[in-house]
Amino acid sequence: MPTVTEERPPRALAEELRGLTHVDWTAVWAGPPNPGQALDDWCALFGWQPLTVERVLRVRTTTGADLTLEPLVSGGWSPVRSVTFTVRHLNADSQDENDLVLEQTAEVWPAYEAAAREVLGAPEFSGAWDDPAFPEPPNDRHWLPSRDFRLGRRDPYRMAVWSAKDPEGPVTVLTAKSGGVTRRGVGKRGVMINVHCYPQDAL
Amino acid sequence: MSAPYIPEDIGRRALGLRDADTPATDEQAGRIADRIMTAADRVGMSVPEYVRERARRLNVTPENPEVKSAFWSFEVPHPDLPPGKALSNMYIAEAWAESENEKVPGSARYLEGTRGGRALGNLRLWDTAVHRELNLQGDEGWDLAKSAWSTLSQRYAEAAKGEVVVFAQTAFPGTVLQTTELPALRTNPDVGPDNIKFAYAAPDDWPPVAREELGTDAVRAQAQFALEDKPLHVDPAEYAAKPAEERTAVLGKLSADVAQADASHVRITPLTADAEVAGAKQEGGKEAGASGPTAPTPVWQMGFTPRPTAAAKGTSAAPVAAPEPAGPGVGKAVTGTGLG
Repeated sequence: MPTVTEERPPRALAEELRGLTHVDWTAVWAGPPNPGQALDDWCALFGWQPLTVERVLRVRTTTGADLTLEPLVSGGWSPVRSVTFTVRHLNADSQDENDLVLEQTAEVWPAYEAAAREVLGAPEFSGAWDDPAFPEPPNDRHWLPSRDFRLGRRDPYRMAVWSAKDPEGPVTVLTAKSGGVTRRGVGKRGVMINVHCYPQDAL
Repeated sequence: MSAPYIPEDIGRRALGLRDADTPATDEQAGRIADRIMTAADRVGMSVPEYVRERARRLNVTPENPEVKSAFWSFEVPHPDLPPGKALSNMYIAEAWAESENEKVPGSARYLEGTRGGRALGNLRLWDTAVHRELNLQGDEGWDLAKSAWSTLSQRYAEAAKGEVVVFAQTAFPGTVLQTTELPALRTNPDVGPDNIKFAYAAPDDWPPVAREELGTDAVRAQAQFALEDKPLHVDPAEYAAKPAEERTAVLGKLSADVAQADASHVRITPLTADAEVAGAKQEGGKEAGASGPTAPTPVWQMGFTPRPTAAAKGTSAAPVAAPEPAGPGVGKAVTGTGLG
């Protein structure tokens, strides 16, 4: 049977998303200061606690999620390209279960999407990897995967997108993405339900 | 704290390097993960085992033994960036090495530019898209990135010779610079504490006496000035308020604490020559540093020349005996896996 290695219930997702509505996104996109008191103070503005001191900043929220502040360039913390966290991670115990983990994720997906709707309202898009209305990336550096990649790998398996009304606010993307399997089908699949927040002017 | 001085040409070049850097797209992450998983499967290892083993075998040994090695940590403000935004010292180190190598080929290097550094960098281990594609759980991806880069950093520091340059004002506790590279450099018989030079002056918000005595390369190569509850801490303000004899005692204690900490530093077993050559062939190309003399050490200090004073004299860590060779188990771990 597939194994759930990380699971925060849908209500916890709603709680985290509610917390993120109070974040000063302009400050987040600009990036954090170097570690020390300045970083502690910067994190405290959002109710976060820093977990790392270099390369990629990770913080813990007051409601228990570990957020990753992905930088746009390597070697530094600023500017921030996205804020990401995982709410569920399901793993196949054998290669025979690789399709089962996708099916089981699809079963729990509506509950997570509904929890996000509670906070963010109706999404601009919500659908599966083969949905004809699935949005296309405007360029090849965009966070949206190309059509070929998405259809060839069934990835993201599910996706829902919300854009904040405030132009400095994030595009919030709930995804079910899989990994662990090579193009030749070797390996055990894992599927994560993640939240990604991107600046609205992200490539 | 004001910005450390960086020569304009180096700063401009570093900014260009930063602007050319881009994060991995999902497609790129997928291709990278595919390569890693396929290679790991071929040698019968898990992905973390494979990557860690690979980091132990990548070549960071300079072909020119006189090459000057750069180290870096954190970011610095840059005049061409908006207020509050900063530039990673990685790009400064890269720009400096590029500039020196243009003047004298093979005279300077930085970790990410070595053959091994480029190979590990190509795996994009700090990228969450790669973690996801590799299906690494929770902290597993971060732990893997940190351990692989720490291993390579340590081997890079252990392979350094002569003077080295650090692009940072101080070493923040918990960073790879403070926990891995500086101990490896201090205990490296070919480097030692007296050959560790900082490119930037000590922070100018330190009291003058602290800048004068704690701002020396020798002290900054040993102490951390940020977290009181972590080892090797010295508070610049408290230090400056002490009389000279007490300041001397503080530095003496620091020296003794560093010597004790460094005594437990364990070198990573060097690879055999055959294994390194195999790795070099696989990665292709030669590392900068094939010939030529060493680059001059940049000491970009504005209005401040750190020099040992009465209190700071003799503060270098006590000479530390060459570390014991690693046990046979460690040596065994890095041979015979068939990895390149």
